[in-house]
Amino acid sequence: MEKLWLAHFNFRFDPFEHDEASRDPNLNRYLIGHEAFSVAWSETPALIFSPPGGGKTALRISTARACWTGAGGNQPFPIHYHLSRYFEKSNFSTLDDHLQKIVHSSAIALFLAFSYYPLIFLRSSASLQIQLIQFISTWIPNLDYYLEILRTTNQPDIVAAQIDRSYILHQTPDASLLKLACESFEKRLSEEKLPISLSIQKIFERVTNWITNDLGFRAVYVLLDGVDGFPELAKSPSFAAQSLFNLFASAPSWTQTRIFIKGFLPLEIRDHLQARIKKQWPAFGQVNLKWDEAMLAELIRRRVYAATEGAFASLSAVSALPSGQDLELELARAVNPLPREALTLVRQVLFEYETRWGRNPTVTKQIQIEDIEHAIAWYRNEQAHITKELASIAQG
Amino acid sequence: MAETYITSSPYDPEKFINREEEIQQILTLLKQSQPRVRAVVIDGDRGIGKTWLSLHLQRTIFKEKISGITSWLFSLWSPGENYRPEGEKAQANERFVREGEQLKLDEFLEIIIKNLPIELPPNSTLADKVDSIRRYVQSHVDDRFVLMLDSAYESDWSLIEQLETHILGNLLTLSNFFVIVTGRGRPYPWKVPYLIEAIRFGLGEFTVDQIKEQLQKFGLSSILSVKDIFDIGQGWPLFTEHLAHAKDRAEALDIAARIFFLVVPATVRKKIRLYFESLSPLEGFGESEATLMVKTYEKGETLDGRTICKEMNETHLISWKDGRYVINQPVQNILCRYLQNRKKNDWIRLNCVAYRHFEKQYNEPSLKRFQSFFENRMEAHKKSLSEAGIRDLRTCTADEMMEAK
Repeated sequence: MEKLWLAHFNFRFDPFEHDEASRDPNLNRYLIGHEAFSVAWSETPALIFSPPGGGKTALRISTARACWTGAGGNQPFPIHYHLSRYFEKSNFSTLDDHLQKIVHSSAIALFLAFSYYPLIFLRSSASLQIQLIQFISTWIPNLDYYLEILRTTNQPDIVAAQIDRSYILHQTPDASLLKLACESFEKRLSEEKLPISLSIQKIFERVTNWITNDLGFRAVYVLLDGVDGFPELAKSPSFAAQSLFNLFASAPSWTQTRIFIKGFLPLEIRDHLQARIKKQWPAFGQVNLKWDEAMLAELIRRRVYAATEGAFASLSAVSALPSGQDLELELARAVNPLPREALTLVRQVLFEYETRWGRNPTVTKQIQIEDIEHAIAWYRNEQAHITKELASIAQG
Repeated sequence: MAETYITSSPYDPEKFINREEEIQQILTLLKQSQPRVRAVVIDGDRGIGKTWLSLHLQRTIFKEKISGITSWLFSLWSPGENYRPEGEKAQANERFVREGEQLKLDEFLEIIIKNLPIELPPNSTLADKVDSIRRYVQSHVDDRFVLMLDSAYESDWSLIEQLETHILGNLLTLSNFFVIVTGRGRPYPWKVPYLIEAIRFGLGEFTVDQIKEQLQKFGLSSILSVKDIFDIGQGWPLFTEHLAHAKDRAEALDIAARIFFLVVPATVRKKIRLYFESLSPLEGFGESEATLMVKTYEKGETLDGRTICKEMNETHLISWKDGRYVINQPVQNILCRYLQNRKKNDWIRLNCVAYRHFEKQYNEPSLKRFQSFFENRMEAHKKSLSEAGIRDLRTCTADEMMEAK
């Protein structure tokens, strides 16, 4: 459906469109809660707790994208370790279990990094290129298929969408450089592979060494998420904590090699995890993502500001509300305190506006008080009860 | 009547005063061995001295007070056809855009590269160029590299986005690369962590003594007292030179009001100034007030409030604050006094209309929950009118205005 309000209110894009953070190309423009971002971004192991819908994934994606602002440079290298990806036939009882999956994730991360920024690959030594290709092709079996997509479309976003949406950067690489990188990959893929007999621990060390020493990244960020998307783990916080114990217990010692694990975890497992890694607990930067009315109002304002290129920072500017009234706070007060809920209500306000305006296109292009009232009534009747429980967890 | 052009003096190190604290803060940052934060954002309204400070850092401080610095100054927005703060002669490592000109990313990189002994491969891509700069900076760990972006917020945001994506995000990861950004009006929403976490400060107004010193350094004697200049110019350094030429307070107010609008293209300047004058009696405004007040002042056709707000917004002389548009403080102060002094009838009429507008809203049943807000606004306009000699607000007619004169 065409969004008439975008043109009516001079928005460059719809900042309320995406519930899923990875789909939103502008996510990093409206980051709020700098304290949480600082914890995720700093060079320490970190634990970020929140309930479902509390913004863990958005913060993880923001952190990963922040690593890529400026095309890499001397930034940290992000690896998304998404547990729900390894749901079938997996267990997480030993450190090696985790390393196995992290190494797989790092192969994906490297391949997509080279797709978006081929120069990082091309400027590495010939011998390293051979090792990198061999490593990536070992862990991503259908690599030739993805290379074909890259060659024909020059769009790493398409490949990332198929492998792991978290990596989508909404960017297009230099076509000539991507072509060169693809050619190198294809040439080596046709060669016979050497058998690898290293332990998973050694492979992990080798990969992280390539990243921090040879490819010029200043650190590796392992961004762990998806615990609450994993039924067994979600059902039992204690079991989830036990499954993560070996990984997080090792995390402080990894900092010597500039590997920092960042856990984006459900709030419920906090105490269970703390009980298991008492000794290591102080080494982790920590933050609980909590939302209140003021933060939710700010979340809406930031989005309006970014989408109007700073023309205004409130939907009040295009409403019939008296000037000086805080529409965002009014909306924030009406919803269960989760970002997703605030976005849902804003979308409904805009829907109410469009519906009313559509019935009579001669009326002023302004959000009226009745649009707001109808949207709030709709939310209370249709939505609020669904997320009430989650919201109460979010409030702590 | 043709508008008289007002020109300001270009930067001259001999005329530069104040800002020791800000300069010291920047020097301290540059002298640190591994500073975690390497970006500085300086914001302030038009005329507070951001561009002069940038020029002073570039041409004087970085040459005299600290060694091993390579710096570049890009001013990304032009203050109009009549003012060139950089002077007439182009200097190395500087680029000041002209009115209506768009700086391209390639040119940006060329200026940076020109000053570094970098050999680029033939047909270098953007990524190659940035990578070459990065390698050079990285290999000179004992040196400091400073990129200054003056008037960044006022510039084309698509250029800032390109700079951020391709250059700043990359180079700011190096511990010896620094960025200093200045801007006024609506801040750019950065996505680079180093700029999100930047050190931020605003520039303060000059004191009476500093205005006095400024007059001495510019070699100016004025008819107005230093206190009058301070009072009218509100301590904004840009005004001092101009107000010194005024023959009385009335003319000084004319000059001060005119200076602000020199940033607006000449073709629309008159219209935009009219919008600002119309809305200056209001503490803040929305679209409906914009329509009403401009119509009252202009006594003409009804204009669309959204268009008025949009055009005013483009000047960066208003901002969105606390749920409404607000005219930047110095602009509003000067325009209010200008109207009170030079267009008293209009001032009274605008305040009367504003009072009645809020009174009408106060009495509207559907807006009952906002009554205290309307009451406050009514009180403010009542006070303004009382000061202008109007007593009976309900019968604020043209005759009474004449009487008040």
